[in-house]
Amino acid sequence: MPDSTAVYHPRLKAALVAAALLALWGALENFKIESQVNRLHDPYMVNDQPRRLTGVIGIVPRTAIVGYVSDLPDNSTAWLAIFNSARYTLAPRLLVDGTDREWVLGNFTKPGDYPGVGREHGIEMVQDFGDGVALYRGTAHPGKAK
Amino acid sequence: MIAAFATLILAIALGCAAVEPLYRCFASHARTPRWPPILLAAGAGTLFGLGATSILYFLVVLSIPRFPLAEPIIEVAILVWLIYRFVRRGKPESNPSHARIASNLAVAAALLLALLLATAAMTKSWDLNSQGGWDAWTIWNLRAKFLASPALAARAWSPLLSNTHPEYPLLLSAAIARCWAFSGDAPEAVSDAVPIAIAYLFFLALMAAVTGGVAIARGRAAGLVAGLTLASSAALLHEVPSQYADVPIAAYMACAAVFTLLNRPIWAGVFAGFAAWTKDEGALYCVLLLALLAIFRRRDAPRAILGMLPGALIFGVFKWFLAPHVTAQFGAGTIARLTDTGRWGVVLGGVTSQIVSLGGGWFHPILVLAAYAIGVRLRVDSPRDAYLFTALAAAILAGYSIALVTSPNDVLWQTNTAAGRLILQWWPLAVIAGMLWLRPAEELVVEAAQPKKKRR
Repeated sequence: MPDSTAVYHPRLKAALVAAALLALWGALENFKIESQVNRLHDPYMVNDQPRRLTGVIGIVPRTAIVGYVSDLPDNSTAWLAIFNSARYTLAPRLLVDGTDREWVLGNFTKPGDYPGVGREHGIEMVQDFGDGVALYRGTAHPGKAK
Repeated sequence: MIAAFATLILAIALGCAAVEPLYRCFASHARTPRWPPILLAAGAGTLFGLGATSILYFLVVLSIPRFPLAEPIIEVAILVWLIYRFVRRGKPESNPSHARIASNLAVAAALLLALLLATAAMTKSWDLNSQGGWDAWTIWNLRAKFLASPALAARAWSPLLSNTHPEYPLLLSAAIARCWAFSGDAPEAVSDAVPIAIAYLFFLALMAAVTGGVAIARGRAAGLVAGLTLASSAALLHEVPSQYADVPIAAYMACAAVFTLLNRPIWAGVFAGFAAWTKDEGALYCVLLLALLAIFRRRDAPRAILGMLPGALIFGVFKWFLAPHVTAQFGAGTIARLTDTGRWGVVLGGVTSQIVSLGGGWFHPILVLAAYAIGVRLRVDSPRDAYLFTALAAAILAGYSIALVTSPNDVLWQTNTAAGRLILQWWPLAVIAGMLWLRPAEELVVEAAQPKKKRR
């Protein structure tokens, strides 16, 4: 426990009060900014993917390396967003672009002829889970998953 | 969930027990009350615990993936030994007397309030975007999911991992994976609460280590003002809920600087090594810290190298033998990019803009430091230290600018996406360096009164 009390020079006291008030102003500004920024809820819908991909998770083994097909232009921001959010959700399965895998995820933004997409790539649709999610079985069996 | 948090608490307990001798040493320091060593030990202990257990988990997963339980067993054994050592040594020496300064209490209250406001702002992010920012689920937490399944851990650095960075170091991912692995949850259903808690712990540890460390080295008021400066830096606070590795590396770099300042080069090396295993920028930090120690404190350099070994070795082994070699930073065209004045213009403009934007609205955290500087005035007690830390902050800034200029990516995109996060890594170092140019506030005490004794 302290055995005495002490006071700073008045100039320093004023400076410390100013520093404290300035810091609180900064913390309030940050609070205001974060309140405005955080109006957007999960912009890439990452937290929605476990619901969409539940069926795929139930069928594809965790050790699988899973191919990927989509109706979005390759490597566009939208493509990267839905590819990466699906990859995160399916992990530890490893999602890779392309259809030369035993299992292939179809991740679509629009309704369409999903079995036809499979035929175009030489893969067979196993199931349409709705909500733009389809699972395909490829003819390629690249071997044991790493 | 309970198991995940028990694993996290084990890491913190282990770290705090490991740094307890440091607390013992600083607590017996003359003129120092107990709270600065407690803060420093809590901050450094948390950082050490998260880093050391993350490395241990990575090594266990790499060497005996069929028996990941070896990791908590080893940790519990070490913790028991550390507690035994603590009990044998007895309680730390009683604190020497010191004067209580009312103004410091007011500043401490303001710091707590600022931290509460910052945390309240973060809770909104945690609630609405529990998955964190883009890099959280495309890099750090994604790789944590692979590491949490020991048999499939090698996927965290697989060359098949396109559109992300399988070559990045793994301290943060392994720290998260370690908690997920023992949570009992399925790998697809792991809790977002773990990366959120770890990100927040890194932030608190950064605050505690800087506040406590600067308070020991430069006086209580200086420590509290350093804490206030960081707690009001919107750019730093904004990155905590994003769950990126930038706040963790900022914490390790700042902690290494604090221990350099406190003449503990081995510990400084340990935290610098952990910085390297957190992000590639940490390797640059290690090199620059060693170079500057060789210039300003030649005797400390070998001991810092010794401390760096755990983090630096695992970083080196990972980069050489495991990670895919995908960087084009130093390949054909590097010299051309380095001498391109247009690229320098973009980078310097972007870096300056990010430094200017460290605060929110019209506020800039440098104002907090400036107000304190007006109160205490400039004075350099140890020119060697002032030059060392100022050179370190300047060298980091220069190194980051060169990295941005030589990046093979589009320079505008690279600067816009990375400069802000690089500046927040640098900012705590700049604050620590700034404190070395100011007179300690305790020298401006004008009156000391003995409290009245009670009448018998």
